[in-house]
Amino acid sequence: MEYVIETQGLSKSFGSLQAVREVSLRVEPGETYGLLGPNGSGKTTLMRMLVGLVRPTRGTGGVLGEEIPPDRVLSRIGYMTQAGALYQELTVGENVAFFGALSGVTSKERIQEVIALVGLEDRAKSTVGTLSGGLKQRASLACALVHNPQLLILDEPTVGVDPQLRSIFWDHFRKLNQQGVTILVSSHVMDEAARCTRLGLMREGSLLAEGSPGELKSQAGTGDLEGAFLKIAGGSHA
Amino acid sequence: MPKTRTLTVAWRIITQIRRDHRTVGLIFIVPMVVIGLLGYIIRLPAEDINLAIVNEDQGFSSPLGMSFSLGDELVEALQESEDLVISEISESEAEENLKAGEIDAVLVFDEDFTQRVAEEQRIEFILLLEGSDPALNTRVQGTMSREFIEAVQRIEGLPGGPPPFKLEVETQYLYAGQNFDTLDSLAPVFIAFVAFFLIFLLTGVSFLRERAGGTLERLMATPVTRLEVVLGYMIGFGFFALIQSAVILLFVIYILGIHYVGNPALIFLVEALLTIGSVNLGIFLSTYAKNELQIVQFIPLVITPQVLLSGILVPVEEFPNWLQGLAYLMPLTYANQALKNVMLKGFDLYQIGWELAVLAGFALLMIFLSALTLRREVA
Repeated sequence: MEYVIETQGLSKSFGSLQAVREVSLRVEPGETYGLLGPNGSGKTTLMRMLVGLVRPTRGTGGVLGEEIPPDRVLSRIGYMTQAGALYQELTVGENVAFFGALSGVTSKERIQEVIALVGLEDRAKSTVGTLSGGLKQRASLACALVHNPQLLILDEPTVGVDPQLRSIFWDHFRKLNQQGVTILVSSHVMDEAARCTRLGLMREGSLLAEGSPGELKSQAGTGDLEGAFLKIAGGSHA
Repeated sequence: MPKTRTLTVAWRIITQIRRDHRTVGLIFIVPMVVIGLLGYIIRLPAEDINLAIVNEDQGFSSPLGMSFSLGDELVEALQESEDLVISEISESEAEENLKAGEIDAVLVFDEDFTQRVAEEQRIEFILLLEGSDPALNTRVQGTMSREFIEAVQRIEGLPGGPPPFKLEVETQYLYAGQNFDTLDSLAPVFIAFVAFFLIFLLTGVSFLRERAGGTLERLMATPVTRLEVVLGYMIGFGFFALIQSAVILLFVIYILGIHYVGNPALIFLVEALLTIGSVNLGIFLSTYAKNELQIVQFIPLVITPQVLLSGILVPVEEFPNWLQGLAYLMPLTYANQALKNVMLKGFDLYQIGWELAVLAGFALLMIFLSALTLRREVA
């Protein structure tokens, strides 16, 4: 089995702070792997190491068959963070076209298609600065999807998004998943976690437990994911 | 959308600035207003100087009965001047009027003025000024020494015979000379300064936003390379810098009518090199700023010394040695010299080769520094 993401003892320290400790993670093709954990548990740093934004202090890792930093396969990865990270003066269409062009996609049809996918057809010509938070987040997702990536790395993509839009996002993720796109997503919303095929629980930089939502529940002996999460992650910190 | 990633980045910069009408105004309109106003003030016609003359000169009488008063002759000659309004008064009145501000200066020829000139073969006179306004002091002194020389030259041809001494003054100008005014030498340095300053500020702020808004992180998670980002920024901002230079150049030449003999291509070459340095300085320093205000705080550190030392206000050659050393560390000094030489003296590519080389060196150093700070790991 060729893993889409595979790390061995990946660690990162910022000075005396150990942000990520000895994480060994394997994500299979076509999975939706959810990273769960409280703020500051190392989810973001782990994801940033995987796209090459942060260099690991120790350990190794590979993404899409390329050792990290995965410079040569960046055009096959879609990366999205909780901060909108769009150019406010440009229109939705221009932002999508810009990030598309950087990954080698210049087809106008594809740009229109992805804007339609996130339901922004009628706002394509609006400047991003004039959009509401939820619409910005949709535009940001379009930028992450424009180049048909094989792997999506989404760092809390639904923070600050209302429940309705969150549900729309997850419907997208499921569709992409069915098309064979592998997704690594971080969250601390439990109903999102339930929609992942596999979950990894993180606390203080370590990957504490892994498994499908069902496995985690039975492992913890609790009826719901939240209970399982609190029990495994050690309660008071969650 | 352009085909290459570098041009894509450049296209984005250009589109962003184009959308921001205030910034467009800052780039194109403000420099014209500033240089226009500056030109107007510099060229305000100087008011006539009210000169009072206290003439107590007893003249010079030869044993043969010939008499000659240099004081009288000079009063007559000075009255022909167009810039002076002459009145003859007594010494006691003079001081009062000077204090009251009714006259600007008092010229005193004392009793043995002619006698002394004849003996010492040199003219020495006393000019009394009110003294509290440095600008007026300078203007009066300048006008007086010029008018005095002209007056003496007029006397030499008088029917009363030449005065008992010889005075020769000859001033020659290598370039356009007397027709040049301060604006002519200010315009080239203004073009360099405006480009350097605005492009530094705009790049600094836009790169800071790129970092703060998370777009730099997103950019770095795409296949775009550091070099492509830096090049894209240089092309994007260089585009505006060159259009700006063209606009200012056309404005100062055709609207303000400054003297200009240079090759525009060379001006743009100097501008392009300066802008490359400026863009990268902006990227480099934006790493050390947390917000827009902190970018502005770099102005006294980076821009002000260059304004003071690059020869915009006082020519670098007039500095003491240690200060000249500092001045020659400033890229703007070289840009100023190159632009002045091209615009005023019509220097060619080889004659400004040294300045171009230094500017290119500065640009390379800045590209190196900005690339160092712009790693893939933005954390």
